Amino acid sequence: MEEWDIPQMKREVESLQYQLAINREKSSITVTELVKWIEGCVCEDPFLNPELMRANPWVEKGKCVIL
Amino acid sequence: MAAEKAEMDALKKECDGLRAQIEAARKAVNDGSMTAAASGVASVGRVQLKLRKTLKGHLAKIYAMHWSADSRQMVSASQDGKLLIWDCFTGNKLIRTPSGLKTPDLCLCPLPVIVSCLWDLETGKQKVIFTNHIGDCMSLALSPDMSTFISGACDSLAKLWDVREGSCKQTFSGHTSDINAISFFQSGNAIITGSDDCQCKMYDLRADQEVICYQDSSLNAGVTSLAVSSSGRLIFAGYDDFNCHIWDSLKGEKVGVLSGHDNRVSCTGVPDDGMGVCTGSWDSFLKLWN
Repeated sequence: MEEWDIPQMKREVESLQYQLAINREKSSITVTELVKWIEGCVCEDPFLNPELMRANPWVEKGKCVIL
Repeated sequence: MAAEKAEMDALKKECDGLRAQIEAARKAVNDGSMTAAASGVASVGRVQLKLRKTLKGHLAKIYAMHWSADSRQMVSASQDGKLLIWDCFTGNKLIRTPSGLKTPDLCLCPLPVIVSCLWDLETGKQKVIFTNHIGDCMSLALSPDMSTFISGACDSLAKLWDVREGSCKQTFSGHTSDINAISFFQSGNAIITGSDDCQCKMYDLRADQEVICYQDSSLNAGVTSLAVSSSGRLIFAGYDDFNCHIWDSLKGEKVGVLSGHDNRVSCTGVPDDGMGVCTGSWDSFLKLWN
């Protein structure tokens, strides 16, 4: 920031004013909803639901592969 | 000269004041914690993945990889100057020109300077230039709805940008060194960063602040890359210690490790179908795990 000139500094002030003005929601709500969202998706996550990994596309089906 | 310096000092003071106000606004909404919200969540236990394939073909360090939307093809980039396209079901390299793949209309690329650029792939022209970082911009990610993107830089900050307006909407601090990796959660409301300070952090976009830090005293290596499982519950973070460590995003615990590379893990990626994770390394190999 030491190399910034006055116009850059003015733009930084404007940017910070813009960033200050955003609407912030209470973390008790947002974090709870995030946890719920992730938990809701776990059953469809192949890493966490072994059922989904039954048909594993990365495992060789037969012994030999014809190229 | 003196007048300029006085104006500069006044502007700096104004910036400091604004940053203090932003911090106060964040504190004002910080009435919950991830620890509290996740206290009732069951543990995922140990996540043990098997190495399914090692893709050999590059002659030098791999520095990037990206999955195709079909979750089957993948492209890797190496210091050997080549882009290789792989069929990850067979492990074969596809002999096909890049125009055979679907590419997005617009592509974001970080430049080794203080800006990131939005390129129009068809015209080859720069559409918008986003300038705000002080240090080199090292990592980018587009939001799921493509209206915003996030950047991580050597100034240790992560920034959220509006794609159309080109304005910086939010700035996230907390890391003490370069941010090398950044990613959105599929919900679009949270981001993850990985840094040379050996930590990963989750930032909540709606509350505008960090909500959890992923760190371990035994981990003294910088984070180079990260990818998130389809639910967001697992974070695959590549480190300079040659491993990819797996974190439980809600509990903040290490739940697994992918070992096998002989040099630093430089890139990681989970395909859209979530069926596994790919790690790429300076050892010139890509490995597929699930």
